[in-house]
Amino acid sequence: MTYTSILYLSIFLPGVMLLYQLAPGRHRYKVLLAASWLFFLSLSGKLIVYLLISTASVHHIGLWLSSCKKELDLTGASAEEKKSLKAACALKRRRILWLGLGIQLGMLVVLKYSGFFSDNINHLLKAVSYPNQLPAMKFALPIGISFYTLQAVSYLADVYYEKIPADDHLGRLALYLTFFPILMEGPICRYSQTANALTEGKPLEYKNVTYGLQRILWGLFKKLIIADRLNLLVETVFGSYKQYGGIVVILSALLYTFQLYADFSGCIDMTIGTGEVFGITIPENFRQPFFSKSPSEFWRRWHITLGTWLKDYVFYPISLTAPIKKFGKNSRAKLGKHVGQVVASAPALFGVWICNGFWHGTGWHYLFFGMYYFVLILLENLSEPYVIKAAESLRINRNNVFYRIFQSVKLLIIVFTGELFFRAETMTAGLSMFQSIFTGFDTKALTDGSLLQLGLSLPDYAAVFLGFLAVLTVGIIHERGISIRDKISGYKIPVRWTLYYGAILLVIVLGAYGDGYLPAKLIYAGF
Amino acid sequence: MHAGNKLKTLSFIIGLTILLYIMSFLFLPANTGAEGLYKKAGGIYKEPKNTIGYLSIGDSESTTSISPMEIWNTYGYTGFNCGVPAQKLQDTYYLLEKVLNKQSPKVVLLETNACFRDFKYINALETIIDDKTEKIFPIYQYHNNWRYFHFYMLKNISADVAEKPSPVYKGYQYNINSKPYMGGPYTEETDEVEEIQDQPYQYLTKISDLCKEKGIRLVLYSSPSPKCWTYAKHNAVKQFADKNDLDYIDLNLPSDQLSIDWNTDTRDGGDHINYYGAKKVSAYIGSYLSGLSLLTDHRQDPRFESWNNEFKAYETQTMKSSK
Repeated sequence: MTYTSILYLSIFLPGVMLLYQLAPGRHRYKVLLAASWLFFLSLSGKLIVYLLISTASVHHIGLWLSSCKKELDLTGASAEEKKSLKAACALKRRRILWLGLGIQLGMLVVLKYSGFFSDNINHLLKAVSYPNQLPAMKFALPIGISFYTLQAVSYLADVYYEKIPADDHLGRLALYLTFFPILMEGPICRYSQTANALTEGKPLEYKNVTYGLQRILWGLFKKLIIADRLNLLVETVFGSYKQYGGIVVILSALLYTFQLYADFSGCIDMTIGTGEVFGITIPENFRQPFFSKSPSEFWRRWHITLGTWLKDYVFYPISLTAPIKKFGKNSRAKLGKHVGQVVASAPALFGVWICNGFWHGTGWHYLFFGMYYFVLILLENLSEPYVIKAAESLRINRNNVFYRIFQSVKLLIIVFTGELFFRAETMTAGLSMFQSIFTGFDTKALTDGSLLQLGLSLPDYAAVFLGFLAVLTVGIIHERGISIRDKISGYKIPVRWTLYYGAILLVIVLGAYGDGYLPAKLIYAGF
Repeated sequence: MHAGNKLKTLSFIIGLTILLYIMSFLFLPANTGAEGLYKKAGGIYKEPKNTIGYLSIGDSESTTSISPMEIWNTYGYTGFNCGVPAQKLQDTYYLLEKVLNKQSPKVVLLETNACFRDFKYINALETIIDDKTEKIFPIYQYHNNWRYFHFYMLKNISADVAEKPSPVYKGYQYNINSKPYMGGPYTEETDEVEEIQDQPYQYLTKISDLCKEKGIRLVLYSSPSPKCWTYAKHNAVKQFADKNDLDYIDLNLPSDQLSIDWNTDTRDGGDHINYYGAKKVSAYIGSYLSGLSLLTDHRQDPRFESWNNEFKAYETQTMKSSK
């Protein structure tokens, strides 16, 4: 059962809505929790045991962190004793935090990465002709582990830094970690963003329900009409990459980027829409990323919640460690304010991008993807004042439309190249495909019908183009700060309903499902 | 929620239901006698009782590989292709169980690709919901016909074969699209065994037991498919066949001398064979069935006149594309 299946859309979601509405307010969160666990069970079965261990340990460790502070009794203690008691308490809390993080991240590392590590160690052992090998390690991954682990880590860190109080309500914490719409692909929510709303038990409201369903429909449009259709071409080219080169590889990198955006942002639309139905505001994860001017801006608009998570729980903690602070001070003193500042941020930035690459998967091409953006963003930060200066001395208006087009084209080339390596089966495949762009470049593919041999027919390309126009139009409108749903709700019923019926039919008719299409999984659910 | 809003919601749902119902009529395929393009098990239920001599079952590798009309033409055996794309073995089992309430085939040919498609019990529920939805609103099943809308729904003109939905004959989906397989040799022998997972294994055993119980000869076969087939899969199926005393025909092995031409006989680069490939597979399977001496030639039997009529339509369709 996934968010696009008929079972989910016509039975599961309406059933949960009905039970939620019928349940008394204080018990409504139980309906959501039961539904979330049922959803988890339907996808991962007995692997729910990992989720339950995560939930129980987060709950217990959060309370432990909190009680440790509360138990600190300084009455009657001298200043010296107070200092020593506080230091002991801080040390204990730090150890408890590390224990909590160890449990959460330990499970993730063992389940997700042990195969990667053992494979690479074995390659190394073979290379040095060592006779023994590690046993092959491969574990089944519970759905959403990469997402709920990050939520659990953020909760523990926030309790530790006393940004939020520890929650003694096990049900609320469990629901925060596994609310069914966020289970498969996030977004990565913070406890302060969703936990209270999840247990508030607000009744369903007409406006929330209609707005939520509209958002779900828009997500289905992107996922079924664009992403799942492009899946055919992407699978064909990336699956047999040795057969293709030049224009075909460029096109497949471009279309894969579009597929990934439509798939991931479409799923997030469904997630946020489902949250809205129940009156729960789930944070946005995308903000028209292709309208960005630079790689760093792109990442502030693409997978926003992962970016902010990495900033808060990797970048800042690394930046604030004593050695890095000292390194920063020295860098600024030796290299000047700007360059020193950029160099000082490099270790923390490196941490962010290595985590970003690793979080996405266990292949060298994912690490390359992370390092690719690390280098690009470091260079961008380093060169920014010089670019501004150069533009001024050449009298180039940086707000000029041509300069904007230049920036967009440059960014799109950067993004497409990154996604080519990201999607490639292996690092070698990525390099081979990248190389084939230049060695096998031939414009004949545009006219000799090769593009119709990649799994998509002419009507398919037409449907993708229609989807692209719709996404572009909606993006431009959103970029101008206009709410389309508010606009639509202002129309009279005949117009409004015609639009709704038209959109539903469009998704049903043009959706790439059934005969001739591969059953396409949600891409980020695999990370 | 206010009463007015409840009424609006109800009216919207009723309106949508009516709209989907009407749209479903628009999207039904022109060759309605063939019972659709996929999930076409309905076709077998229209066959008169106890008239089918053999069945082929499985996923899309089954749907595309055996053409009962070819076998009818050469041997006069009545067969039906019950393959359903992406079908899980669990659903194959229930489909077979249902079909056997009305038909008493002597032979069941099970394509083995689905043995390696793992599934969970929730999938069964999903299949039921999907089937019901498609029955109530056929637009879900036939929605992909939008691409032919211009050709056969509005103007009703005769377009080229490639521009029409693939017609279906006794369950076989006729398709002459061709996209070569470029991957080179794929049948290198190995001792590796790709394990059949618990649930598919359980239903494979159930299918075998059901056939035994009904006195049906179950034959396992693997359709030629460089993209889906591996030697390790062959070894796993062979082990099962040996253990249960079943025949296993692997049409990927060079020993079977099928001479599939991967430049012309596949429709999608080696995943499925097209009509040209199916013609060769059907000839091979027909010959195998003939060797079993279990089936009857009905070509001269007036009760099976409709088969001759359907063959005429098939012949007309395939004549243009025959090599």
